[in-house]
Order: sequence, then C-alpha cells, then structure tokens
Amino acid sequence: MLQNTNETRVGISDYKISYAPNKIMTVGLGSCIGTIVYDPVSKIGGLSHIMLPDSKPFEKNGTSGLNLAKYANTALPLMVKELKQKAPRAKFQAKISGGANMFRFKNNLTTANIGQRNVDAVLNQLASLQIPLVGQDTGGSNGRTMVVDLNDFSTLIRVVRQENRYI
Amino acid sequence: MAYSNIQLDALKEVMNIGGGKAATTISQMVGSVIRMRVPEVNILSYDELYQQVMADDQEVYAVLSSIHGDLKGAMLFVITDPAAKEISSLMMGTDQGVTEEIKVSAVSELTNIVSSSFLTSIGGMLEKKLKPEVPVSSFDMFGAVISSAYMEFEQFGDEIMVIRNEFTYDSNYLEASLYFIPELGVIDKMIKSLGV
Repeated sequence: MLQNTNETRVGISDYKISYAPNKIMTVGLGSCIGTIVYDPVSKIGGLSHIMLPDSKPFEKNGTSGLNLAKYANTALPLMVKELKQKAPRAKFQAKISGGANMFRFKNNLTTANIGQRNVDAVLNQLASLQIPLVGQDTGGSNGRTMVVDLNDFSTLIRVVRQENRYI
Repeated sequence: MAYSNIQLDALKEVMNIGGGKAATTISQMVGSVIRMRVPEVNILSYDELYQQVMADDQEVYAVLSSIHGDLKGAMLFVITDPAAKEISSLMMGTDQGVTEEIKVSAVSELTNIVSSSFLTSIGGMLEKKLKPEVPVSSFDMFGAVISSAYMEFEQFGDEIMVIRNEFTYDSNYLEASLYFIPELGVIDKMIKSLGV
C-alpha cells in the first residue's frame, strides 16, 4: 500500500516543521535563504525561509511586534528550539540554499548584496547553535526552489532552465 | 504605511495618467493593439500577491530599470514566455524566427520605452526629473524576482505596496505587467508633492 505523503509548503518569512514520509518545500528563493534543519534518526525536519539577516535595525520595542520568522538571527534559534522540544535527543544537521543577487545590483549601498549577507548570517546562526552544515547551494543570480524529502534528507534544488540538482 | 483614501486616490490618479501615457507609446510602437488597463494600487502581503496576481513559481521574463533622478526606485516589467513571444512578433511584424535573443531584446526595449514615458509623465506631475537606467533582464520564478526587487529598494515589510499596470492585447488579457517599485519613503515624498 502506498503511504500517504504530503508536501508542506513554507512561505516567505515563515518556517514549518514536518516528519518523514512527508516532503517540505519552499518556492522562489531569491536573495532569501532556505534552511533545512534535520535529524536523521527521528526524521523530523524544519524548513525556514528568511528574508533578512538581522532583526536589530527593526527593533523599536525589542522584538515585540516583529515577525521573528523573517530574520536569520531570530528565526533559526526559534525553529531549532521547537525542533528540540519535539525531538529532545536529536542530532541536527543543516543544508542551506538561496542568497542570490537576482539583478546583479552593484550601486545600492544600504542593501549591498543582501543575498551574501543573508548567507553569512545563517552560517553564523548555525555555528552558534552548533549544527553542522552538510550541504550548501548559494549565491549566483538565479532564483531557487528547495524540496526536501524527509525520508532521507535528499534536497532538490530547482533553478529555471538548469538541470535539477541535489545537495 | 498608513495613507488616507484621498491620498491613495491621488496616487492612483498619477499612476493612471503615467500608465495612460505609456499605453499610448506602446500602442504607437506596435500598431495600437496593445493597451494598458487602469493601474491598481494595493497594499498586499506576499501570500496575497501570489494568490491574486501571479503564482510564486510562475516562470517569467523580468526586466528591471532603476529610476535615475529625484525619486529612487525601479520599474519592473514582468511577462510570461507566451506573452513575450506574442509581443516580440508584434514588434517585429512577423512570428518567424522569434529567438530567445530577440525575445529578451524586444522585452528589454519595450520596458525601456514604456518606463521612460511613464516616468516622464509622472515626473512632470510631481515636478521631479525621472529617467530609467539601462535595464537588467532575467528569466526566473516570479516569487524570487518580485521579493528581491522590493528588497533592493529597502521595502522589507511583510506587506508591500503593489502599483501595477496590466497590459491587454486586442482586449484579451496579456500576461504582462509593469510594476512601479518605490524606494522606502518615496510614496511619502510623492504624496507631499501632490499636496494631499
């Protein structure tokens, strides 16, 4: 008998958690970053789609009123905390994708290469959460779709007019 | 971002006149079969945008021209592959030999012309000098294109102001839209110039 699997879709500035045999995916990563945090034993995985590296410039009354799933520095600790509650003995691993510079902009200083800054911020967070990075497909000037199979952590990266690849 | 209805109406009117001017230009260029509809000015979340306007995984040609002048921002032209083919054929006067290269250059040229006339027109009303920069084009997913374009102009909100002119061809809906993407604070400046 076929198992019922479903595909959980994560929108921009959001994260979601799911289990095998499901898939979890996010569409249209430009300068944003998709981060999958996965435990191979319990086969639980959380996928985050962050938009910006840091919540601090937007904090007026601390983080109240902010969408914490939007920023690398707040989204990842929150998602990992939730994952740990659901799988206390998990040993997590991570893969990331996105961080493109879609229109190859050069001259806007305030937003200078937001994609690269997002990559750096996510890598910093993963390091401080002590989660090893086992796959990465970032940079360039193309958008990406990321589809993670929670059975085996295989992570499909889809780019328009390029062959599908796995990280 | 909280504007009164009167302010939004004034803004819509400016966009309407700008859009009308651009529509005239494009009609003259391809023989008066392509028109632009009354522009919509809406504040939408990304989810609403992907549900109401275009799906995030829709593949599109996207041509972006930064605005050079007193107001910062960009013009973004978004068109699907079949619509790009149709427009290229109309611009060339034949559907023979419409290659990828021709499509990209036709769509870029169109963006340039439409953006110029749109910006000249709204610049006149706002008493600002506005011109499009050399356009940059890509073929990619709508979601990646639009979110990155807004963020490039410091529009980091969960909701964005969507100012969009839709094109029609022989009164059929053509999957092509011109977005005006203002940098943060530009709408305030525009409303101030309009005195509403």
